[in-house]
Amino acid sequence: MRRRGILQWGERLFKLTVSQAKGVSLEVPEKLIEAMKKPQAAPPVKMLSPDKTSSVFRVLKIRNFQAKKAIFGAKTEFAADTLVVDPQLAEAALEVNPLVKKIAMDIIEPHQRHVPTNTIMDIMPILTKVNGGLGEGITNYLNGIVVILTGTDEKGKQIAEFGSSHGILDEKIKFGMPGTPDAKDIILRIDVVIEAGTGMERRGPLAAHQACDFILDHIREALAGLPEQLATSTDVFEDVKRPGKPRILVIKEVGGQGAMHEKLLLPAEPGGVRGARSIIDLGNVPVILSPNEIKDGAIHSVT
Amino acid sequence: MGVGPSTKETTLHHFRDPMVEITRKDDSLDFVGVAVVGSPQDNSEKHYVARRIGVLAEALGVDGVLIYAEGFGNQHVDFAAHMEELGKRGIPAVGLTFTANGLVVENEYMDDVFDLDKAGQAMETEVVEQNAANAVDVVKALKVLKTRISTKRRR
Repeated sequence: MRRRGILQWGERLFKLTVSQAKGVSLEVPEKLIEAMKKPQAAPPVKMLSPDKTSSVFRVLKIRNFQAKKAIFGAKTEFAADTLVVDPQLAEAALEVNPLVKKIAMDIIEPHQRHVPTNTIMDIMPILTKVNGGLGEGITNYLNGIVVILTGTDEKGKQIAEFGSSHGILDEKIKFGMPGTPDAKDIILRIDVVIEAGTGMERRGPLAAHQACDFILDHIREALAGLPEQLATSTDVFEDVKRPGKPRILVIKEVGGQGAMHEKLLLPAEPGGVRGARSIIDLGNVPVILSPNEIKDGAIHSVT
Repeated sequence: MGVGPSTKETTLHHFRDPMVEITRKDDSLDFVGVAVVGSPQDNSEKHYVARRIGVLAEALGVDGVLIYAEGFGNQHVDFAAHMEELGKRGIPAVGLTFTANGLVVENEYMDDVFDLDKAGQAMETEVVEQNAANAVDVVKALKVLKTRISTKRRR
């Protein structure tokens, strides 16, 4: 029945094989004949080898907003390249944790870095989620400003365990490293005083970080509402599978011993504290994070 | 000993971590992810988490590992244990850490460890991020790791 050259790939055959038959009658409904005339969808192409091309399975967009100036003012907002921070936030942040006794904020311009400082507890970028969870969706990033958290306890003891970085700011920071401000960055410094003697316990430094996070949450709120058009650029980050290529795992061994040897993982806001879990509470066992999650501030350093 | 200002990684560092940024941009590699492991106080716990690292790398079927340890001193007990657990399983691993005056513990699987001492003082300088890992360190480490992987594949 099959005529080569007329049948195309995917066409179905009606086959009838009869051997030594005397009387054969065949009845076929007309519907079936009609159905057989209808063209068939092409069958899925079978790959002889697995797909060797890369595949993207998670996308994160970071919108960059450029701050050129930072000032204190009545309302925390970002307008016309200027970040305005409400100085009242320092007082409001005292409510966050009773261990926090005093908070002072100041803005340090790039040419003013030769100033005294307490020990540097952390350096943070200002980021906020616009939509999606950590590692996907859209994040707004405030370029040009970094936050430095410094601190002492009520008796003036530096909140530092293994070496304190108090002294003159520009002598105590190696600028231009991955984790330090660049030459042109404006520094928002938050200096926290915590209850005497709690600096060497986990709760002391954590309280300072929480208070700082409270202030940043207000800035994040202002940042989250910015229209896309104000962004200077958008960076797209992709979590990718590249089958067939050498599989690489990056391992980061971080402090997990207690006060100031601690990291907080997967906070509610990028690089934040709220909602995060401590690697210590997680038993210090390995936790896998995707490259996008890392880029979206999945690790907050209390170290 | 512990994690001091010059060896600690700030939140900003994690946000633009060169180990992640450079590895993810390299399209000759299939970057499976980042394992964050804590360094516990107790020695038995250190070996507990190190064994988890070994089993994790084994389960993920990775061809190579880039491993970093924050701080120095007792942190290198875990660091050495991690590299041993990986090495025993035949997984090439290249390490990045501040070794100060030599590691407190070493083993046969630690041939490829890069020292992050940039100040050249072999001690805690108390200057923030002075001895942190930067792009140059990561590029060097990845190059060695690729060599180790291809050598192993040829065998």
